[in-house]
Amino acid sequence: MLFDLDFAIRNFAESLKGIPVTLLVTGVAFLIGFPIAFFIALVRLNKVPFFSQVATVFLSYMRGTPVIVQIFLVYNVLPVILQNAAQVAGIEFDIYSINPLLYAFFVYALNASASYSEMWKAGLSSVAHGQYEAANTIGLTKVQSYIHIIIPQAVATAAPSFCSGTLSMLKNTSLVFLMTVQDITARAKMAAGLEYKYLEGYVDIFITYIIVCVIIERLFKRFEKKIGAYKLA
Amino acid sequence: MNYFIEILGKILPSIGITFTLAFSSMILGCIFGALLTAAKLSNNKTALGFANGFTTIVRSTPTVILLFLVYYGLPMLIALTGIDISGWNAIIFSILALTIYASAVLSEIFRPAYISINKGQAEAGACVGLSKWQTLIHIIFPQTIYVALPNMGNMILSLIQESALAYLIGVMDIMGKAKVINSMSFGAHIITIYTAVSLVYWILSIITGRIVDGITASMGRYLR
Repeated sequence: MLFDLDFAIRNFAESLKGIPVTLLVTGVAFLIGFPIAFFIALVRLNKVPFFSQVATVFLSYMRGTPVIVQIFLVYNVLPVILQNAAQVAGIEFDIYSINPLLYAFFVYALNASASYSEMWKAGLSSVAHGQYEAANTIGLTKVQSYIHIIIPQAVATAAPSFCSGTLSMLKNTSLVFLMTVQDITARAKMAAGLEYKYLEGYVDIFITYIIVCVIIERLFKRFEKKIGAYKLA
Repeated sequence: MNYFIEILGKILPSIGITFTLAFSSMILGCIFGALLTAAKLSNNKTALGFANGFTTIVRSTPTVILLFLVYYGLPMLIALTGIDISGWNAIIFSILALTIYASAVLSEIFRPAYISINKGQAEAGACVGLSKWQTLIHIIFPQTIYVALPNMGNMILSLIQESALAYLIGVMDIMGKAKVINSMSFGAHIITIYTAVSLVYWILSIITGRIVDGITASMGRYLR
Protein backbone atom coordinates (compact mmCIF):
# COMPACT_ATOMS: atom_id res chain seq x y z
CA MET A 1 0.00 0.00 0.00
CA LEU A 2 1.60 3.22 -1.15
CA PHE A 3 0.46 6.79 -1.04
CA ASP A 4 -1.48 7.54 -4.22
CA LEU A 5 -0.47 11.10 -5.04
CA ASP A 6 -2.60 11.31 -8.19
CA PHE A 7 -5.68 10.36 -6.28
CA ALA A 8 -4.86 12.80 -3.49
CA ILE A 9 -4.63 15.64 -6.01
CA ARG A 10 -7.86 14.65 -7.73
CA ASN A 11 -9.65 14.27 -4.42
CA PHE A 12 -8.39 17.63 -3.19
CA ALA A 13 -11.03 19.44 -5.27
CA GLU A 14 -13.67 17.43 -3.46
CA SER A 15 -12.58 18.65 -0.05
CA LEU A 16 -12.38 22.24 -1.35
CA LYS A 17 -16.06 21.94 -2.31
CA GLY A 18 -16.87 21.41 1.34
CA ILE A 19 -15.42 24.76 2.44
CA PRO A 20 -18.69 26.74 2.01
CA VAL A 21 -20.56 24.33 4.27
CA THR A 22 -17.86 24.49 6.94
CA LEU A 23 -17.90 28.28 6.79
CA LEU A 24 -21.70 28.30 6.83
CA VAL A 25 -21.93 26.18 9.99
CA THR A 26 -19.29 28.31 11.69
CA GLY A 27 -20.90 31.55 10.55
CA VAL A 28 -24.43 30.65 11.58
CA ALA A 29 -23.21 29.34 14.94
CA PHE A 30 -21.38 32.63 15.43
CA LEU A 31 -24.39 34.78 14.47
CA ILE A 32 -26.70 32.91 16.84
CA GLY A 33 -24.24 32.24 19.62
CA PHE A 34 -22.57 35.65 19.85
CA PRO A 35 -25.64 37.66 20.99
CA ILE A 36 -26.90 34.85 23.25
CA ALA A 37 -23.46 34.67 24.83
CA PHE A 38 -23.62 38.41 25.51
CA PHE A 39 -26.84 38.01 27.47
CA ILE A 40 -25.51 34.99 29.35
CA ALA A 41 -22.49 37.06 30.36
CA LEU A 42 -24.72 39.95 31.46
CA VAL A 43 -26.89 37.63 33.52
CA ARG A 44 -23.84 36.15 35.19
CA LEU A 45 -22.10 39.47 35.81
CA ASN A 46 -25.22 41.03 37.32
CA LYS A 47 -25.95 37.83 39.28
CA VAL A 48 -29.59 37.81 38.19
CA PRO A 49 -31.26 35.30 40.53
CA PHE A 50 -32.32 31.98 39.01
CA PHE A 51 -31.11 32.82 35.49
CA SER A 52 -27.50 33.06 36.57
CA GLN A 53 -27.73 29.64 38.23
CA VAL A 54 -29.26 28.20 35.07
CA ALA A 55 -26.48 29.80 33.05
CA THR A 56 -23.82 28.33 35.34
CA VAL A 57 -25.23 24.81 34.97
CA PHE A 58 -25.56 25.24 31.20
CA LEU A 59 -21.97 26.47 30.88
CA SER A 60 -20.63 23.69 33.08
CA TYR A 61 -22.47 21.09 30.98
CA MET A 62 -21.31 22.51 27.67
CA ARG A 63 -17.73 22.77 28.90
CA GLY A 64 -17.82 19.39 30.57
CA THR A 65 -19.11 17.17 27.77
CA PRO A 66 -17.44 16.36 24.46
CA VAL A 67 -18.95 17.96 21.36
CA ILE A 68 -19.31 14.52 19.85
CA VAL A 69 -21.65 13.44 22.67
CA GLN A 70 -23.65 16.62 22.24
CA ILE A 71 -23.94 15.81 18.56
CA PHE A 72 -25.27 12.34 19.26
CA LEU A 73 -27.76 13.72 21.76
CA VAL A 74 -29.06 16.54 19.59
CA TYR A 75 -29.18 14.37 16.48
CA ASN A 76 -31.33 11.83 18.29
CA VAL A 77 -33.29 13.89 20.80
CA LEU A 78 -34.23 16.92 18.72
CA PRO A 79 -36.21 14.96 16.08
CA VAL A 80 -38.25 13.25 18.83
CA ILE A 81 -39.04 16.58 20.46
CA LEU A 82 -39.92 18.16 17.13
CA GLN A 83 -42.17 15.25 16.19
CA ASN A 84 -44.03 15.38 19.49
CA ALA A 85 -44.40 19.13 19.18
CA ALA A 86 -45.77 18.73 15.67
CA GLN A 87 -48.21 16.08 16.85
CA VAL A 88 -49.46 18.29 19.66
CA ALA A 89 -49.85 21.20 17.27
CA GLY A 90 -51.59 18.89 14.81
CA ILE A 91 -49.17 19.55 11.98
CA GLU A 92 -48.26 16.77 9.60
CA PHE A 93 -44.61 16.76 8.88
CA ASP A 94 -41.85 14.34 8.24
CA ILE A 95 -38.94 14.78 10.63
CA TYR A 96 -36.67 12.89 8.29
CA SER A 97 -37.09 15.65 5.73
CA ILE A 98 -35.25 18.11 7.99
CA ASN A 99 -31.88 19.08 6.62
CA PRO A 100 -29.18 17.76 8.99
CA LEU A 101 -27.55 21.17 8.63
CA LEU A 102 -30.16 22.51 11.03
CA TYR A 103 -29.02 20.10 13.72
CA ALA A 104 -25.45 21.16 13.10
CA PHE A 105 -26.45 24.81 13.50
CA PHE A 106 -28.17 23.93 16.74
CA VAL A 107 -25.23 22.05 18.29
CA TYR A 108 -22.63 24.63 17.34
CA ALA A 109 -24.83 27.61 18.24
CA LEU A 110 -25.19 26.14 21.74
CA ASN A 111 -21.47 25.56 21.91
CA ALA A 112 -20.72 29.04 20.65
CA SER A 113 -23.02 30.67 23.19
CA ALA A 114 -21.22 28.81 25.96
CA SER A 115 -17.68 29.56 24.84
CA TYR A 116 -18.24 33.18 23.77
CA SER A 117 -20.01 33.99 27.02
CA GLU A 118 -16.79 33.43 28.99
CA MET A 119 -15.03 35.81 26.62
CA TRP A 120 -17.83 38.38 26.81
CA LYS A 121 -17.65 38.15 30.58
CA ALA A 122 -13.92 38.85 30.59
CA GLY A 123 -14.35 41.69 28.07
CA LEU A 124 -17.27 43.31 29.87
CA SER A 125 -15.65 43.14 33.28
CA SER A 126 -12.50 44.77 31.88
CA VAL A 127 -14.45 47.96 31.13
CA ALA A 128 -13.85 50.34 34.04
CA HIS A 129 -16.81 51.23 36.18
CA GLY A 130 -16.28 54.92 35.55
CA GLN A 131 -17.30 54.34 31.95
CA TYR A 132 -20.82 53.30 33.01
CA GLU A 133 -21.06 56.30 35.28
CA ALA A 134 -19.77 58.69 32.62
CA ALA A 135 -22.33 57.37 30.14
CA ASN A 136 -25.01 57.83 32.74
CA THR A 137 -23.95 61.40 33.51
CA ILE A 138 -24.16 62.58 29.91
CA GLY A 139 -27.73 61.32 29.81
CA LEU A 140 -27.46 58.08 27.86
CA THR A 141 -29.98 55.39 28.68
CA LYS A 142 -28.72 52.01 29.81
CA VAL A 143 -29.17 50.47 26.35
CA GLN A 144 -27.52 53.43 24.63
CA SER A 145 -24.54 53.36 26.94
CA TYR A 146 -24.07 49.65 26.26
CA ILE A 147 -24.27 50.10 22.49
CA HIS A 148 -22.09 53.18 22.20
CA ILE A 149 -19.70 52.96 25.15
CA ILE A 150 -19.46 49.60 26.81
CA ILE A 151 -19.77 47.02 24.02
CA PRO A 152 -17.18 48.56 21.66
CA GLN A 153 -14.59 48.57 24.45
CA ALA A 154 -15.50 45.08 25.62
CA VAL A 155 -15.27 43.70 22.09
CA ALA A 156 -11.94 45.45 21.56
CA THR A 157 -10.48 43.85 24.68
CA ALA A 158 -11.93 40.42 24.00
CA ALA A 159 -11.24 40.45 20.24
CA PRO A 160 -8.21 38.11 20.37
CA SER A 161 -10.12 35.47 22.33
CA PHE A 162 -13.20 35.88 20.12
CA CYS A 163 -11.01 35.26 17.09
CA SER A 164 -9.21 32.24 18.46
CA GLY A 165 -12.52 30.87 19.75
CA THR A 166 -14.08 31.19 16.30
CA LEU A 167 -11.07 29.51 14.73
CA SER A 168 -11.23 26.58 17.10
CA MET A 169 -14.96 26.30 16.48
CA LEU A 170 -14.28 26.15 12.75
CA LYS A 171 -11.97 23.20 13.39
CA ASN A 172 -14.50 21.54 15.65
CA THR A 173 -17.21 21.68 12.99
CA SER A 174 -15.27 18.87 11.29
CA LEU A 175 -17.39 16.53 13.43
CA VAL A 176 -20.55 17.39 11.51
CA PHE A 177 -19.69 14.57 9.14
CA LEU A 178 -21.23 12.35 11.85
CA MET A 179 -24.55 14.06 11.09
CA THR A 180 -24.15 13.49 7.34
CA VAL A 181 -23.56 17.21 6.73
CA GLN A 182 -21.42 17.63 3.62
CA ASP A 183 -18.55 19.71 4.96
CA ILE A 184 -14.82 19.54 4.13
CA THR A 185 -14.29 16.37 6.13
CA ALA A 186 -17.42 14.54 4.97
CA ARG A 187 -16.89 15.20 1.26
CA ALA A 188 -13.25 14.19 1.06
CA LYS A 189 -13.74 11.26 3.42
CA MET A 190 -16.62 9.85 1.43
CA ALA A 191 -14.90 10.21 -1.94
CA ALA A 192 -11.74 8.63 -0.56
CA GLY A 193 -13.70 5.85 1.12
CA LEU A 194 -15.17 4.76 -2.20
CA GLU A 195 -11.69 3.79 -3.37
CA TYR A 196 -10.38 2.70 0.04
CA LYS A 197 -7.84 5.52 -0.05
CA TYR A 198 -8.46 6.86 3.41
CA LEU A 199 -5.04 8.30 4.05
CA GLU A 200 -5.09 10.33 0.82
CA GLY A 201 -8.49 11.66 1.83
CA TYR A 202 -7.30 12.68 5.27
CA VAL A 203 -4.21 14.38 3.88
CA ASP A 204 -6.48 16.40 1.58
CA ILE A 205 -8.69 17.40 4.49
CA PHE A 206 -5.61 18.25 6.56
CA ILE A 207 -4.23 20.57 3.87
CA THR A 208 -7.61 22.18 3.25
CA TYR A 209 -8.07 23.02 6.91
CA ILE A 210 -4.58 24.47 7.16
CA ILE A 211 -5.25 26.73 4.15
CA VAL A 212 -8.64 27.85 5.46
CA CYS A 213 -7.37 28.44 8.99
CA VAL A 214 -4.27 30.35 7.93
CA ILE A 215 -6.32 32.65 5.67
CA ILE A 216 -8.93 33.28 8.34
CA GLU A 217 -6.25 33.86 10.97
CA ARG A 218 -4.72 36.55 8.74
CA LEU A 219 -8.12 38.23 8.36
CA PHE A 220 -8.68 38.10 12.09
CA LYS A 221 -5.28 39.67 12.77
CA ARG A 222 -6.28 42.62 10.58
CA PHE A 223 -9.61 42.90 12.31
CA GLU A 224 -7.94 42.84 15.72
CA LYS A 225 -5.68 45.70 14.69
CA LYS A 226 -8.61 47.73 13.44
CA ILE A 227 -10.78 47.19 16.46
CA GLY A 228 -7.85 47.91 18.76
CA ALA A 229 -8.63 51.58 18.11
CA TYR A 230 -11.58 51.31 20.49
CA LYS A 231 -9.41 50.12 23.30
CA LEU A 232 -8.54 52.61 26.00
CA ALA A 233 -4.84 52.69 26.69
CA MET B 1 -34.42 4.51 35.17
CA ASN B 2 -33.24 1.02 36.04
CA TYR B 3 -31.93 0.70 32.52
CA PHE B 4 -30.15 4.03 32.92
CA ILE B 5 -28.32 2.73 36.01
CA GLU B 6 -27.54 -0.53 34.23
CA ILE B 7 -25.93 1.45 31.40
CA LEU B 8 -23.95 3.55 33.85
CA GLY B 9 -22.67 0.34 35.41
CA LYS B 10 -21.49 -0.88 32.03
CA ILE B 11 -19.87 2.41 31.04
CA LEU B 12 -18.07 3.23 34.28
CA PRO B 13 -15.27 0.60 33.99
CA SER B 14 -14.14 2.16 30.72
CA ILE B 15 -13.43 5.49 32.42
CA GLY B 16 -9.97 4.02 33.01
CA ILE B 17 -9.24 4.06 29.27
CA THR B 18 -10.44 7.65 28.97
CA PHE B 19 -8.15 8.60 31.87
CA THR B 20 -5.23 6.70 30.37
CA LEU B 21 -5.68 8.55 27.08
CA ALA B 22 -6.08 11.98 28.66
CA PHE B 23 -3.36 11.77 31.30
CA SER B 24 -0.66 10.03 29.31
CA SER B 25 -1.08 12.51 26.48
CA MET B 26 -1.04 15.34 29.03
CA ILE B 27 2.24 14.14 30.52
CA LEU B 28 3.86 13.50 27.15
CA GLY B 29 2.39 16.77 25.88
CA CYS B 30 4.01 18.65 28.76
CA ILE B 31 7.41 17.18 27.91
CA PHE B 32 7.21 17.91 24.18
CA GLY B 33 5.44 21.20 24.80
CA ALA B 34 8.30 22.31 27.04
CA LEU B 35 10.81 21.30 24.35
CA LEU B 36 8.85 23.29 21.77
CA THR B 37 8.79 26.29 24.08
CA ALA B 38 12.55 25.98 24.52
CA ALA B 39 12.89 25.92 20.73
CA LYS B 40 10.68 28.99 20.39
CA LEU B 41 12.74 30.93 22.91
CA SER B 42 16.09 29.84 21.47
CA ASN B 43 18.23 31.73 18.99
CA ASN B 44 18.47 28.72 16.72
CA LYS B 45 16.61 29.70 13.53
CA THR B 46 15.88 26.09 12.44
CA ALA B 47 14.48 25.10 15.81
CA LEU B 48 12.43 28.28 15.98
CA GLY B 49 11.02 27.80 12.50
CA PHE B 50 10.20 24.17 13.15
CA ALA B 51 8.47 24.90 16.45
CA ASN B 52 6.40 27.76 15.05
CA GLY B 53 5.47 25.83 11.92
CA PHE B 54 4.54 22.75 13.91
CA THR B 55 2.33 24.79 16.23
CA THR B 56 0.55 26.61 13.41
CA ILE B 57 -0.11 23.40 11.49
CA VAL B 58 -1.32 21.37 14.46
CA ARG B 59 -3.46 24.18 15.80
CA SER B 60 -5.27 24.55 12.49
CA THR B 61 -6.03 20.84 12.17
CA PRO B 62 -9.17 19.33 13.68
CA THR B 63 -8.24 16.73 16.30
CA VAL B 64 -10.30 14.11 14.55
CA ILE B 65 -8.24 14.56 11.38
CA LEU B 66 -5.03 14.42 13.41
CA LEU B 67 -6.24 11.14 14.87
CA PHE B 68 -7.03 9.63 11.47
CA LEU B 69 -3.77 10.89 10.00
CA VAL B 70 -1.73 9.29 12.77
CA TYR B 71 -3.74 6.08 12.65
CA TYR B 72 -3.56 5.60 8.88
CA GLY B 73 -0.47 7.59 8.01
CA LEU B 74 2.10 6.71 10.65
CA PRO B 75 2.17 2.94 9.97
CA MET B 76 2.60 3.70 6.28
CA LEU B 77 5.42 6.14 6.98
CA ILE B 78 7.20 3.78 9.35
CA ALA B 79 6.72 0.89 6.93
CA LEU B 80 9.20 2.66 4.64
CA THR B 81 11.89 1.79 7.17
CA GLY B 82 10.72 -1.81 7.12
CA ILE B 83 9.14 -1.84 10.58
CA ASP B 84 5.52 -2.90 10.79
CA ILE B 85 3.56 -1.05 13.48
CA SER B 86 0.11 -1.42 11.94
CA GLY B 87 -0.67 -4.09 14.49
CA TRP B 88 -0.20 -1.75 17.43
CA ASN B 89 -3.11 -1.09 19.70
CA ALA B 90 -5.32 1.82 18.64
CA ILE B 91 -4.79 3.29 22.12
CA ILE B 92 -1.15 4.00 21.27
CA PHE B 93 -2.12 5.84 18.10
CA SER B 94 -4.74 7.81 20.01
CA ILE B 95 -2.22 8.81 22.67
CA LEU B 96 0.22 9.84 19.94
CA ALA B 97 -2.37 11.99 18.17
CA LEU B 98 -3.53 13.61 21.40
CA THR B 99 0.10 14.20 22.40
CA ILE B 100 0.77 16.04 19.14
CA TYR B 101 -2.28 18.20 19.75
CA ALA B 102 -1.43 18.78 23.42
CA SER B 103 2.21 19.66 22.87
CA ALA B 104 1.33 22.34 20.31
CA VAL B 105 -1.21 23.95 22.61
CA LEU B 106 0.90 23.55 25.75
CA SER B 107 3.92 25.16 24.09
CA GLU B 108 1.76 28.24 23.56
CA ILE B 109 0.74 28.08 27.24
CA PHE B 110 4.30 27.69 28.58
CA ARG B 111 5.88 30.37 26.40
CA PRO B 112 3.99 33.40 27.73
CA ALA B 113 4.15 31.95 31.26
CA TYR B 114 7.94 31.70 31.05
CA ILE B 115 8.24 35.19 29.60
CA SER B 116 6.04 36.59 32.38
CA ILE B 117 8.60 35.65 35.03
CA ASN B 118 10.57 38.70 36.02
CA LYS B 119 14.17 38.76 34.79
CA GLY B 120 15.28 39.78 38.27
CA GLN B 121 14.44 36.29 39.47
CA ALA B 122 17.12 34.75 37.31
CA GLU B 123 19.61 37.44 38.32
CA ALA B 124 18.80 36.90 41.98
CA GLY B 125 19.38 33.19 41.49
CA ALA B 126 22.76 33.89 39.95
CA CYS B 127 23.59 36.27 42.78
CA VAL B 128 23.06 33.67 45.48
CA GLY B 129 25.45 31.41 43.59
CA LEU B 130 23.08 29.00 41.88
CA SER B 131 24.14 27.58 38.54
CA LYS B 132 22.03 28.27 35.47
CA TRP B 133 20.25 24.92 35.72
CA GLN B 134 19.72 25.22 39.46
CA THR B 135 18.14 28.64 38.93
CA LEU B 136 15.85 27.20 36.27
CA ILE B 137 14.78 24.20 38.32
CA HIS B 138 14.41 25.83 41.73
CA ILE B 139 13.37 29.36 40.85
CA ILE B 140 12.04 29.79 37.34
CA PHE B 141 10.14 26.55 36.65
CA PRO B 142 7.97 26.51 39.80
CA GLN B 143 6.83 30.05 39.09
CA THR B 144 6.29 29.34 35.39
CA ILE B 145 4.17 26.33 36.21
CA TYR B 146 2.15 28.32 38.69
CA VAL B 147 1.36 30.94 36.06
CA ALA B 148 0.54 28.24 33.50
CA LEU B 149 -1.57 26.10 35.82
CA PRO B 150 -5.06 27.47 35.08
CA ASN B 151 -4.48 27.00 31.34
CA MET B 152 -2.97 23.56 31.94
CA GLY B 153 -6.14 22.70 33.82
CA ASN B 154 -8.22 23.72 30.80
CA MET B 155 -5.92 21.59 28.68
CA ILE B 156 -6.49 18.42 30.69
CA LEU B 157 -10.24 19.05 30.58
CA SER B 158 -10.17 19.48 26.84
CA LEU B 159 -8.00 16.36 26.50
CA ILE B 160 -10.59 14.32 28.40
CA GLN B 161 -13.15 15.53 25.91
CA GLU B 162 -11.03 15.17 22.80
CA SER B 163 -10.21 11.63 23.88
CA ALA B 164 -13.89 10.85 23.18
CA LEU B 165 -12.90 10.84 19.51
CA ALA B 166 -10.60 7.84 19.96
CA TYR B 167 -13.53 5.45 19.60
CA LEU B 168 -13.61 6.39 15.91
CA ILE B 169 -10.46 4.31 15.42
CA GLY B 170 -11.74 1.54 17.66
CA VAL B 171 -10.57 2.38 21.18
CA MET B 172 -12.86 0.99 23.86
CA ASP B 173 -13.19 4.08 26.02
CA ILE B 174 -16.48 5.47 27.33
CA MET B 175 -17.66 6.31 23.82
CA GLY B 176 -16.56 2.96 22.40
CA LYS B 177 -18.41 1.11 25.12
CA ALA B 178 -21.50 3.24 24.52
CA LYS B 179 -21.36 2.40 20.84
CA VAL B 180 -21.25 -1.32 21.60
CA ILE B 181 -24.15 -1.09 24.03
CA ASN B 182 -26.08 0.94 21.49
CA SER B 183 -25.63 -1.55 18.68
CA MET B 184 -26.44 -4.48 20.97
CA SER B 185 -29.78 -2.87 21.74
CA PHE B 186 -30.24 -2.07 18.03
CA GLY B 187 -30.31 1.67 18.63
CA ALA B 188 -33.52 1.48 20.64
CA HIS B 189 -32.08 3.20 23.70
CA ILE B 190 -29.72 5.62 22.03
CA ILE B 191 -31.03 8.67 23.91
CA THR B 192 -30.71 6.97 27.31
CA ILE B 193 -27.22 5.73 26.48
CA TYR B 194 -25.80 9.03 25.35
CA THR B 195 -27.48 10.89 28.20
CA ALA B 196 -25.63 8.54 30.54
CA VAL B 197 -22.40 9.12 28.62
CA SER B 198 -22.76 12.89 28.78
CA LEU B 199 -23.46 12.63 32.52
CA VAL B 200 -20.29 10.58 33.07
CA TYR B 201 -18.17 13.09 31.13
CA TRP B 202 -19.79 15.99 32.93
CA ILE B 203 -19.07 14.59 36.39
CA LEU B 204 -15.55 13.61 35.32
CA SER B 205 -14.89 17.18 34.14
CA ILE B 206 -16.31 18.73 37.29
CA ILE B 207 -14.15 16.51 39.52
CA THR B 208 -11.04 17.13 37.43
CA GLY B 209 -11.74 20.86 37.48
CA ARG B 210 -12.01 20.80 41.27
CA ILE B 211 -8.72 18.91 41.60
CA VAL B 212 -6.98 21.41 39.31
CA ASP B 213 -8.36 24.31 41.38
CA GLY B 214 -7.08 22.62 44.52
CA ILE B 215 -3.60 22.17 43.07
CA THR B 216 -3.55 25.78 41.87
CA ALA B 217 -4.48 27.00 45.33
CA SER B 218 -1.81 24.90 47.04
CA MET B 219 0.83 25.99 44.50
CA GLY B 220 0.21 29.62 45.44
CA ARG B 221 3.11 29.48 47.90
CA TYR B 222 5.62 29.43 45.03
CA LEU B 223 4.53 32.84 43.94
CA ARG B 224 6.51 35.71 45.33
